[in-house]
Amino acid sequence: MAVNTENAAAAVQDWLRENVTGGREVAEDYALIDNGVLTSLQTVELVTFLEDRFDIMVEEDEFDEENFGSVQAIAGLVASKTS
Amino acid sequence: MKAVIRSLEENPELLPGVDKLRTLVYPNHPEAYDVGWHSSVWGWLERHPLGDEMRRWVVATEDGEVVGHLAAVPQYYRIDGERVVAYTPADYQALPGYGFHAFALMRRFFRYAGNCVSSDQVEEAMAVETKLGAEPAGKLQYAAKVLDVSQLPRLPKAARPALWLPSRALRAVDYTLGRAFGGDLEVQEVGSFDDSFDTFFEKVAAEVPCVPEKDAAFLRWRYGSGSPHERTTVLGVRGAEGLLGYAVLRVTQEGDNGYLLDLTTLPGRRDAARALLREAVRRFQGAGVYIVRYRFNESPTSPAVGDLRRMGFFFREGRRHTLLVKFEDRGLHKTAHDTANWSYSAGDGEMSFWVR
Repeated sequence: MAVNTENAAAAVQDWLRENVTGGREVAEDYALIDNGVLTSLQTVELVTFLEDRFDIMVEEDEFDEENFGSVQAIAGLVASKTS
Repeated sequence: MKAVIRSLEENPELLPGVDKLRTLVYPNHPEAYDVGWHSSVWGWLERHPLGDEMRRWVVATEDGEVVGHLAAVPQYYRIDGERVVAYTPADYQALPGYGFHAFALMRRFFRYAGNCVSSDQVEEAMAVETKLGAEPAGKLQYAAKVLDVSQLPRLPKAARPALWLPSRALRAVDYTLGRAFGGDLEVQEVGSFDDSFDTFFEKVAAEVPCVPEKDAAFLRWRYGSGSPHERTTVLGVRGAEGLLGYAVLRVTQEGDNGYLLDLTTLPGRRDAARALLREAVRRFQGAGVYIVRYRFNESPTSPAVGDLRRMGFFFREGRRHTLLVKFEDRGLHKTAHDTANWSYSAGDGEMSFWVR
């Protein structure tokens, strides 16, 4: 299956529902870090999940609040690595 | 502000930024401002036989400000009879607001270091390490013994003379306990780590599944010239079968704290451990320290917890370090992932390198 921002976003939403939000969906542009939804520790877990799921490698320099600030941003990062 | 991880070896111009970072992270620690001392410790670490494999990384902003630091310090271990190199994350610091970069630093560490042995008590650091694959093997013991109650910090100065007498009484009790406790083994000061320490280490490693490789060469580096702990007292007990055990004693620069950095005996030689413990306490008393601190993993090569209690040590539950391990080889990891398999003292690794 080709990876695009849509199925990457769906995977991130699934992970957030299961591990962070208690089943609640968040808007794709919702500020995850600014609003305290995602801590930096949880982001480590999310990165590990994304690397395993999409067979990608997130570089240390990409590991910042810009790339992980929203579902949209995370999905964009994943899609850019698989295109 | 955008910040990136950079190798300190490749960007030595960032070193002053690391010195500044330390003062920002630990503003109330006088030693944080002692650039020369920290520089000497890093120089000593570079002189380790594996010094070329040590790595240091910083997080630097676009303006060149250093906002994070982490080092990978290598060391030899003997696990299941196999010599392996494992790394310890060292001097891990990040300014508030750079949490993501702190994780990125630790990720860089684990990508570089296939094997990791770490002893930590900072919850946040341990949380990062465990998220990235290290597993807690168990907690180390933290024993302490007060030698002079009149010198306890936070004690009003006016109360100190009144406590002189109890301190003398404490000393008399220690003397009596020590006489009954130590047996007949003779403890002597050791002048150098000679070949007998190689033989001793091999005997230990043959019976203990996990141990830092503390042969004579390591001990000469660890406590020899240029080490932050070159001014230590080394005690040894010998018998017909050679060296039975040794202890390394360190009095801090301020002269008030005594650290028992290492006390290792041949497996099962509790009599040697007792004799060394008794003499260590006597030496620390003579040096005038008010407290002896000893962090270790109870094992067949260490004093027994019960013996420490009998010698007047108490155990501090809240300040115990956790030993965390990660080995790429699953078999080695399984063995290392249990403190019951370890012989380990504070002096064996990075947790004690910064004791002044």
